[in-house]
Amino acid sequence: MKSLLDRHLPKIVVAPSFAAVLFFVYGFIGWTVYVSFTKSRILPKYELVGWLQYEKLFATPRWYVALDNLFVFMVLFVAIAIMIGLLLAILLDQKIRAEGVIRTIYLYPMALSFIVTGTAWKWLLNPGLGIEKVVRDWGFPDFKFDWLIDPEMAIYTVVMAGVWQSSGFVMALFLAGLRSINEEIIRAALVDGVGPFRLYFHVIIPSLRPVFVSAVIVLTHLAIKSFDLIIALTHGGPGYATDMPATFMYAMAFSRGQLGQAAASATVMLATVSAVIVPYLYSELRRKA
Amino acid sequence: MSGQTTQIFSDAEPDLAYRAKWYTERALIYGALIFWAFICLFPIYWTVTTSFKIAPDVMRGNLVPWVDFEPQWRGWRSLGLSPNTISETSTVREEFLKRFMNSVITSLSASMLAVTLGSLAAYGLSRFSYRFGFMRNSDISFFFLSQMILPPVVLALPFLILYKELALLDSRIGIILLYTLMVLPIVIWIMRDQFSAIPIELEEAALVDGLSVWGAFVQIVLPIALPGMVAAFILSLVLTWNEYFFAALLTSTDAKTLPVMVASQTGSQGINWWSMAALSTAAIAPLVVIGVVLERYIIKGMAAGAGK
Repeated sequence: MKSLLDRHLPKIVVAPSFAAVLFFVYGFIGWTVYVSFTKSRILPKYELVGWLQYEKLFATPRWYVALDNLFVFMVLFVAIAIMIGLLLAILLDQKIRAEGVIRTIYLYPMALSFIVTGTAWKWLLNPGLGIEKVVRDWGFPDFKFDWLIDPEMAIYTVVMAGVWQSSGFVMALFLAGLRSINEEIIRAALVDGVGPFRLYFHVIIPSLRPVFVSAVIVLTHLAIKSFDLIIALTHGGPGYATDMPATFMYAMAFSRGQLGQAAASATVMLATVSAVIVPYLYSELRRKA
Repeated sequence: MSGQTTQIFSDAEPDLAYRAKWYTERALIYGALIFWAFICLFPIYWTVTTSFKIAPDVMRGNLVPWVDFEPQWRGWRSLGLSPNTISETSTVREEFLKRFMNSVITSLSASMLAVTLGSLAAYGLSRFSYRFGFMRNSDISFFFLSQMILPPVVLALPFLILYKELALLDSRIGIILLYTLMVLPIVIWIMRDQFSAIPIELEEAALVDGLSVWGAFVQIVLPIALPGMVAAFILSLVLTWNEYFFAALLTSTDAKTLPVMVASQTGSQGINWWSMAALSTAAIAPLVVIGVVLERYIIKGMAAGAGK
């Protein structure tokens, strides 16, 4: 009995996770992709109709709004979060007292649900309350800050909140990167009389390339997934001005009863994410193993 | 006596300039760091203080308790959690406690299940060579980890339909199973690194001493890997405690969790800022406490989860 357990142990330890993931993740992805090629509306149907749902999807103006928003959000969110995160990491790497406390504080926004912290953001961004009110009280009675209810600008409030939430996390990535740079290189540069700015721009930042790559990957993925941010701040509104693919899919599936459309949009999202991330992740694992 | 107070050596002009530059630089660095810390904390500060405000305070934007406004139990009373309502029966409080317990039970159970299953799988992947069809160890790792990058919407529809069939909709069990699956890859990711860092010679020595593979795992490897498991557990706890998408989708009355309750407070007649704030404070309090106590582990987990 005992040797039987020993002999099969390798399979026993991996099998439960393997089976669960195979069925519930890969199986379910397959199902979603399949349904995107059917006529399903409120209930799933299983006769194939070809690319019909995709043709319909790409003829829907709301879908283009969602893609547009995703693009704007993703570019700004990734760029700004990386800039702030890198800056914070460099500043925090200057032998700061209480570094541990500051680091923890920076990670709080990420560790707390945005559904919850979004309440404070809604107050801050609310025209008539929050930032607008405070600046007016400072003696600028004409100050206007109504991005939250402006269809053109609302998406930028989502960017602000997203950057607030993720910068600390990006900081942690860069800080780890900075700490693992070979001291010798820095010392050599200092001996050569390189000033602090050239040291950072020509020596240290270039050597953080792998950290940039993983930060971009993680942030891109967060951007494509973002759902809580939008639900908590704007609920996709005003109208559907801040819709993103995730909220679009949610609306199609659960308030419009358009399973086929929802499945098609989910499939498009999946394909996009895979195209960006899978090659990276795979090579990363190959290298490690 | 006076000789002691007069300075014998004084800094030369360039030294003073250097020191002044150093101090301004330090001041700027600390200023910037504290500024961002303020930005990070402000929404949390606002949430906690607002739960003690009354309507005019919220509208006027009063921020500092006792200076700007007199703290009141208004927000907490609306939850039935203020000192004068705590002994009375309150339907709101009952609802809140039910949601709170749902969150506690689902996040704890899912994290425990995920850490158990994930650690086993990670151990296997770091110690044995697998061959499953064309798949080797690195392919199997990829097979697990790739779901970390999935947009969860891809799985939403089939889960909804499956749970409807199995009568798991709006049940804690359903949510627990789903959350386990959700955090499993992160646990495997963290634990694989943990186990790989433990020299295999330790177990070989144990095997030579007559322990079984299983015995070596339990008695030798597990104690060393425990800090990593705690990190994985805490990270799972944070992720499942905050999860909103699936909870909003798959629960309605019985198994609703705290984030869903918070999100559903924004009614058509605008927001009750004070009760929203009280509810939000109660929802983040456990995490803030865990964060303060177990900061080390969270950082470790987040760094590992990020895919270094």
